[in-house]
Amino acid sequence: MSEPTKSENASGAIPGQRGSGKGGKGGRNGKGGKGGERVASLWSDAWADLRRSPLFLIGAFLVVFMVLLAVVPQLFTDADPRAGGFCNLADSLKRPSGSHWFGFDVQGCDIYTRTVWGARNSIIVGLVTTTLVVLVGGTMGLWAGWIGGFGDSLLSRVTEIFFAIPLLLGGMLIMSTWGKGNAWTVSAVMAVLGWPQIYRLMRSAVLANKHNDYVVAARALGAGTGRIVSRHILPNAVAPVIVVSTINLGVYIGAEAALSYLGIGIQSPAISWGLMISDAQSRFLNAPHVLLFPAVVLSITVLAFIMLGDAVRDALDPKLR
Amino acid sequence: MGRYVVRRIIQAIPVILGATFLIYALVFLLPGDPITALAGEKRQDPAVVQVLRDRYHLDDPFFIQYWDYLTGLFKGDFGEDYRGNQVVDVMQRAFPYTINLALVALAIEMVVGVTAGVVAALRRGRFIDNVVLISTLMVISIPVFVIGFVLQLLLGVKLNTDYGIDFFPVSFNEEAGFRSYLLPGYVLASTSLAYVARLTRTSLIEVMRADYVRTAVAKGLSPLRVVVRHGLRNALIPIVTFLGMDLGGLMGGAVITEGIFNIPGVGHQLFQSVYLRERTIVVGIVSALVMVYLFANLVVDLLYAVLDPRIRYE
Repeated sequence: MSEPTKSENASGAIPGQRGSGKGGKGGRNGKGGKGGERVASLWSDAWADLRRSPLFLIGAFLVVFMVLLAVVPQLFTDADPRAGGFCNLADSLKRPSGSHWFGFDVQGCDIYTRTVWGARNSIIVGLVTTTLVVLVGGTMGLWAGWIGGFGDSLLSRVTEIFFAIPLLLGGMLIMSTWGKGNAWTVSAVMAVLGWPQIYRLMRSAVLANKHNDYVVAARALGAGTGRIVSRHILPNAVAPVIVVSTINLGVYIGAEAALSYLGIGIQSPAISWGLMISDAQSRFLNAPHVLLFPAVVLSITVLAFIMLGDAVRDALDPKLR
Repeated sequence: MGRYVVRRIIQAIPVILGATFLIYALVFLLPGDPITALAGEKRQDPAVVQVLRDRYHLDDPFFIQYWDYLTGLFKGDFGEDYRGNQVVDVMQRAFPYTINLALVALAIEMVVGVTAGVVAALRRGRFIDNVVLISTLMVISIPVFVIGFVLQLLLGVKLNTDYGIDFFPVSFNEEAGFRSYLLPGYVLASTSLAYVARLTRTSLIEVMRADYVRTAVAKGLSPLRVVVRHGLRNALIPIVTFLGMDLGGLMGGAVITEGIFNIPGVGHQLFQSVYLRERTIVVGIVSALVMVYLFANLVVDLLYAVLDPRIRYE
């Protein structure tokens, strides 16, 4: 079957071709960048918009920086917070100074080093939770929207149950049951509670598209279910899922910090910003810097992902054009 | 409309059943024996333990226990905790604080959030609009507990020690009454407030482009009347939806806020009960919160007709 791969008009949102390919994950059909000609698609337009958006540039810079912190903290600090002799009680609660920018916490550990090393758990939680939520929620939503009928009704009732339980409450219950708090378990728990959101998005996108003319046309041309779903349904659902997932990535990082703050998320000796804030709270009045530095870095990380998501939404929303 | 309400309530039943089952199962799986937890370090008399286990049917299979609980729940009986208190009494003691807190938070959200959103929408693209957009973005990003600590330090402590204004109590006390709820209410509301402001802005900008707004302006109505009666009223539907969904989240978020400001409400109680393995209290409170959430959503759906008379319930 022949696919119209080179439509010049921007009106048909055929995200099979993703212009310069850098905004998404590269053209799926592999023809995107072949001849080097500019193809006006939703994605190439969006990418052109994004490159000029300060919101996107700042957000992307911060995200890249945070991921760098998470992957190679050694780039930013020589000290290793896991090494013996890293903390010295004589330094307890010392204020920030030239050699120790963020000062020391109550145990006499250097806060800067701990904050740098703490990025890893936050980024892991954000990425793993989002990946799981998109995989589980996306697949279920796609299936329910496509099949319809009893399975759809049943799944939709189940998601209503999950919507009625707030993330923090549910997380608190499951984590205190499970007990083993580390980045992976926290991610799994939040994914269990978070998938219905993407499920709903995906399901409604499928329902909105499955009776469209181009789907009927593809079917008439003999396309199978797999091809229709992957080439015609999915591309239309991808945009809202990307936007919501990016914003939620930040929200999950904040939720992990909240759980760790309550003492049921990531457990010591692992380093988590939420845990650092929790340890600092009782001495906040005398030593505010112990709480504020990890809090500021945590907020900046969450902010970065929300800014990124906002910018992508603005770029992808054709109504704003 | 009566039939609509009845149908909605019937639809809510499976959600309540599913949610209580889920929570009951989770709490049932909580590690540690609740009866052992009662005595702390003390050695317990095995006979006493057995009597207590029989009394609370702890040796029955899980599904039998759940069934007993559920039948009790439908008779309005939330059961009793392992110290012999009626769960209803515990909830009656804790809920008023949280309801007050949530209402103060909701009021702050509505007044501050909607006002900020309206101002930003009417001055779109100007300085004040950017101020609202950037400040809301920051508030959304800062974790609630950090906002809580910082405001507690600045308004609760510094304002008192440095300027001698003792208006916001650092931690909850009954004598201060309403003032005690202001600071925690604001902290609890902060994230949602930012969302409300942004939602109001977007929604109002869209509505102000509508034909009927142009007609209203052309008729010579005062700008205030145009914005409030023609603009805001029509822009309110997504905001009301958000507020209704948020009420459940506010009650849940109270775990952190009540902890910071030492309010003896539901969140505080819940947090303690999880640690004390008080299964019945945990299940009771969370089930009640789920019902509050569903009820709030029903009220929101009924409010639609008030805001937009074109909406009918069949």
